[in-house]
Amino acid sequence: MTWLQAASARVVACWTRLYTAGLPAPIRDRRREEIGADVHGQLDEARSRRERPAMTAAAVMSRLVRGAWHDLSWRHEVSRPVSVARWQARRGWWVTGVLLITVAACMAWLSYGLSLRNGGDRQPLRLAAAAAGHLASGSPPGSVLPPVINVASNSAPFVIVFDARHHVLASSGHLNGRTPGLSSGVLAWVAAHGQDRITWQPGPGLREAAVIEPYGGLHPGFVLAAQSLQGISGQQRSLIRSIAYLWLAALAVSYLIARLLPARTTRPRHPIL
Amino acid sequence: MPIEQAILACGIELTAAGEPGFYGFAMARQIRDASAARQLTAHGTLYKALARLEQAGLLTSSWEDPGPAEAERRPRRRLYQVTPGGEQAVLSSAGQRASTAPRPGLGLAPA
Repeated sequence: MTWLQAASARVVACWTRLYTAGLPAPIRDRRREEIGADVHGQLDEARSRRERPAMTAAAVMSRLVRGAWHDLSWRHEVSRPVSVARWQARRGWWVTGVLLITVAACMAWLSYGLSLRNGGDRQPLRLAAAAAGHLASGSPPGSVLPPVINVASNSAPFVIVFDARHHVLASSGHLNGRTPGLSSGVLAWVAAHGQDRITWQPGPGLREAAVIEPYGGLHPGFVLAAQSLQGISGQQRSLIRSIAYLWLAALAVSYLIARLLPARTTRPRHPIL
Repeated sequence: MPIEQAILACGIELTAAGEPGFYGFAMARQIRDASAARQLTAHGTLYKALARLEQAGLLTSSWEDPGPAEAERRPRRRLYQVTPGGEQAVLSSAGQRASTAPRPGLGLAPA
């Protein structure tokens, strides 16, 4: 055998190893042995016919190239039942994984989302408690207010002081030149149950973290401290986007793992065996 | 299915010539000679067709005894045999060809 013939035989062997890689051992080994015996037979015949080595090598390579498409389609045919069976065996695990990933994503969204929202109450809580303390000790309503702001354009905190009959006594927040209106049901609830924390919408597109605190003293009433949730809403939207992307990525990765991870067993499943 | 018909027809011819079974390269050579082609059937075409015929029950196959292969210092061969169903398929296919467009020879067409 000349080096040219040996090289052509080696190329065929390499190609056969390549397109049979990953198949169940009996199918893979049978195809490799059959092709090896075939090429050996062809080289033997060429020797007996005293064929020129270059011609023989070209003939061997020609058989490889002309049949390459059929090699690949054969591989597709024999590997399909294996991959389908593997997927059917793993589908249950994947569905369970999807549920766990979804539950984890929901829990992350709930815990971080609530934590962000609760963070918005900190400043109003401090303001309301301080103002209620001062008002109970007799300070005038106007003295407990922070700087006046326009609620529609400024996200700084503001305070509104009400008397016991729900009339506004003083306010540092204005909306279109007026004090934002609060449902009297909220103040009635606070009168009955004590402090309340709400998400308040004083106008279209406005969301405020509001804390309403009752105060006592000679002239009892209620104090509302609020701060815009605009920044927190942006963080919440960003959080939802991040969790959604992570959720989709986790689903895709788990699906690919379930579909493509090689099986531990190489039991033959193809019907020709 | 020309290549499948060619394999079955040549397999029957080889059996009639006294071969107990035929192997891949012998089949490629037989198809080439019978169809007066210049080239041998491609590996992929031949072995894919053999696998399909076996799956359809028209061929059976088994590995040859290791003795002859060791004695001749060559790889062992997978030996195929045409089943009665395969013979029947060739006969009915030849009958159909004869009734529609009769022509001499096997009408083989290797890929």
